[in-house]
Amino acid sequence: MIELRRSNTAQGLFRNQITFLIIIIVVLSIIVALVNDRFLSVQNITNLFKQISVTGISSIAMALVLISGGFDLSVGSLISLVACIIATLINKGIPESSAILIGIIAGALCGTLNGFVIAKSRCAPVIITLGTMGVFKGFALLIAGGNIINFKVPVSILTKTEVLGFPTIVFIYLFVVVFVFLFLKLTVFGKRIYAIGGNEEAAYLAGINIAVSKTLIYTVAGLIVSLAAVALLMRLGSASAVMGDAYTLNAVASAVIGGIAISGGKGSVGGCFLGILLLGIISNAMNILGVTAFLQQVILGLIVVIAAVVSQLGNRDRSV
Amino acid sequence: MATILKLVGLTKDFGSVRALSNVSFELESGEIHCLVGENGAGKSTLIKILSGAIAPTGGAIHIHGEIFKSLTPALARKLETETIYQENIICPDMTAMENIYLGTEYRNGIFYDKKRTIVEAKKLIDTMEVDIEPLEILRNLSPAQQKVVQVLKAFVKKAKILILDEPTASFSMNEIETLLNIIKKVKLQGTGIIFISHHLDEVFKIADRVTVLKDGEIISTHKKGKYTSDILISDMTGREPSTFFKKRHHQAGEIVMEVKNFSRKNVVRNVSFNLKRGEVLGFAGMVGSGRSELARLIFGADKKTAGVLFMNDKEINIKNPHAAIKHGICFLPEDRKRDANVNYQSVADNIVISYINSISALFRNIRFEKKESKKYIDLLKIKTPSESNSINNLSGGNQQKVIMARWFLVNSQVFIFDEPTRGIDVGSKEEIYRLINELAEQGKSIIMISSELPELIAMSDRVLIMKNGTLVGEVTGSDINEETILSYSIGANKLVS
Ligand SMILES: Nc1ncnc2c1ncn2[C@@H]1O[C@H](COP(=O)(O)OP(=O)(O)OP(=O)(O)O)[C@@H](O)[C@H]1O
Ligand SMILES: [Mg+2]
Repeated sequence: MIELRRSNTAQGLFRNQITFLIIIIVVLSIIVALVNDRFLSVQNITNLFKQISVTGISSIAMALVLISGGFDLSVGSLISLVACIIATLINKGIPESSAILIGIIAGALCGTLNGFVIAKSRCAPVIITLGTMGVFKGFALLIAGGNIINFKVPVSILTKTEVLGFPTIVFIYLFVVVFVFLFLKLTVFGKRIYAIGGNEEAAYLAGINIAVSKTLIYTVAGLIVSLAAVALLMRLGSASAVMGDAYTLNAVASAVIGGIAISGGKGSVGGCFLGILLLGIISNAMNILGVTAFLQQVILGLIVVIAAVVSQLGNRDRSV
Repeated sequence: MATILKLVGLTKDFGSVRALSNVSFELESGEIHCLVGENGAGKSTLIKILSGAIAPTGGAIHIHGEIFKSLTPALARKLETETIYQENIICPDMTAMENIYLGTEYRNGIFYDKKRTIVEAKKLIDTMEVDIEPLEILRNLSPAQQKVVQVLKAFVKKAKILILDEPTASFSMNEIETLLNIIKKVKLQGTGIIFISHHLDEVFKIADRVTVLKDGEIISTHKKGKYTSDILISDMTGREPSTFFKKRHHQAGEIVMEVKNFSRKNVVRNVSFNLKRGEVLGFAGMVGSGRSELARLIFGADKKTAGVLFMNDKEINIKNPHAAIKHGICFLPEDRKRDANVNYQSVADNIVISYINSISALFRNIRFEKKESKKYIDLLKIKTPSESNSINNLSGGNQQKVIMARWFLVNSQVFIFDEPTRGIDVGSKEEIYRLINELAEQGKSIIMISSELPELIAMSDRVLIMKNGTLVGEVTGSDINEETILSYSIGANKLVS
């Protein structure tokens, strides 16, 4: 009797998720472009990047936390809170730039709070951030009083449409991508994040100060989330306590599609960027092709599942 | 005796790395067939193929006369093959008995017959002459006892083929003896056994045949009584065996570190000793005597309940490993896979991680990191295609070497090495001894914990013996010999000092 086993070439192909993503993105773009030539127009591509920017920024924050072996459920609430703080301060007559700065600092401090409690209590990050998700949302509701906050004074920074030729929010996104990419590659702290996610006990015994590092990681994540809040404020032109709600799970989804392991220690900003780009292309294409919003939900959900399964295929060999 | 397993022309490639090349191998029933070879020779790869964990690239597996291209774990089980990996893969929160009879429980209709299982377990433990309480939770047993439980499980299943990958790493001599005896009893049942080990003395004790692997190829197979350890070593390394243990010229200087009244609950009790410049201080004792725990206390990895530490006559307070490294103390943990490997990261990153943390730089110096990693890859003969390969792709012993390199790179004053040569092949052990001696000659101080008495005796200037968390003896000079050390660790001698 001869037993044949499923060939290993599938594993080989999927081993490098980045290559895989690039191939899918290129193939998909070609197909959609053939069906509808509007897809590759400058205007549509600009649109596409505008659509993915806010999720993109939040997913970079999420990626940092995931790579360190953590999790952050409070991303969405924090976006709302920071946006509400900024909008309220501006309406109170505080100069726009100061308001934005205060909002960003407040967001970073909320991250510090997350990180500090997680590091010191050694509780599961999911639980702690589930709690702070409620806290941040609560504060946002208190500030906004359940209403949409429109600007009552003229704003200039938040309505600026272009920086260096890029739409402002796309510029912010690309800036975050490049900054975090270099941060992870070139700094000692970047290496620590991977080490803590890869094996926390080993990182501890290798001399890494886990408590300080985790606090810093969540602080940086909070800072980046604040930038997402600024970007979203620019897009919507108003703030509310629920404006960020959808972003937590979308950030996780795109990070996972980009090959970042929920279990930590693995993944890159590049992968995360491609993951969100793929999601963006798919939903953009579905819009162009007139797929209904409800069906879009179904399809996007399926893609997350497929991506997770695919990234697992690549790991099969090592599971023992 | 009948041949139950035959491998014909087996090849396995991991990407561009050829781990096994045209390997042919036979196992008879009722035979213990040892597999030896350097780190990265392909031993674990071979048994992973047999357990169905991975599929070979080419070749065939003949089991009980049937021919397979590859196996799956389920298929391997159906063919009555049991594999015991180096890490204990068992259920730590179930009792020893439940683990032994997992899948072969005695039943009463559809119900689990606990009474009968207890009776049978007691009988089994008696006939095998082991010292295990069947109703003890597995987690509370020593690593050696846990290994015994796994072997008993295979015995109860009447496995036709039993495979053990480095089962005795870091066990004491008595524990090894017990395990080897049990394995011999399993063999009498007609089971064919493949046994991987880096300890040639064990191989001499139990092997009916021994096969040497080198760089993925079979070099030779010897029958019992037809080989010497020199023959095995030259087959394994491809060169003539050199003399081991070149004793270092010892000139211990002033006291560098003083440990006073260290305690932690019941694991470490009131331990005091000092360490001198240029000294290798050995720690002997049974597994569980508190040596590793003491090391973790000194390193600040666990909280001590009492005790003070002096470095160069100054009292210092170490509250975590980060602080310990800052004060010039480093620690190589015993279980590297669990406590030291930074998963998914490259070999280079794993080597430099402690170093880049110990200097206060914001940016990495990637060129320097690469240069140093390459140096240690050469020096310790770490088998890897490049320094950017992920550590998870290395063989067990090569992962160990990477972690050794990590601490050689950090500029420390005191080095605590817990089982530094565990899982490391004969040839590379020498290199590690040489590096340790070199550190001592440079005036560094080394604490070496080892269950291998011969290496402890050859390397140490002084040996402290621990038992049940306390220091029970200190030997120096010509007293550093197996008899004296064992008499302390078994308890024949009373406390000196
Ligand atoms: N998952 C993997 N991916 C890539 N290469 C691998 C993988 N597993 C093993 N190898 C390579 O295959 C070779 C053989 O490894 P193997 O684990 O079989 O060695 P070994 O004889 O068990 O060594 P040791 O004594 O160190 O345990 C090594 O060069 C190793 O780097
Ligand atoms: Mg091995």
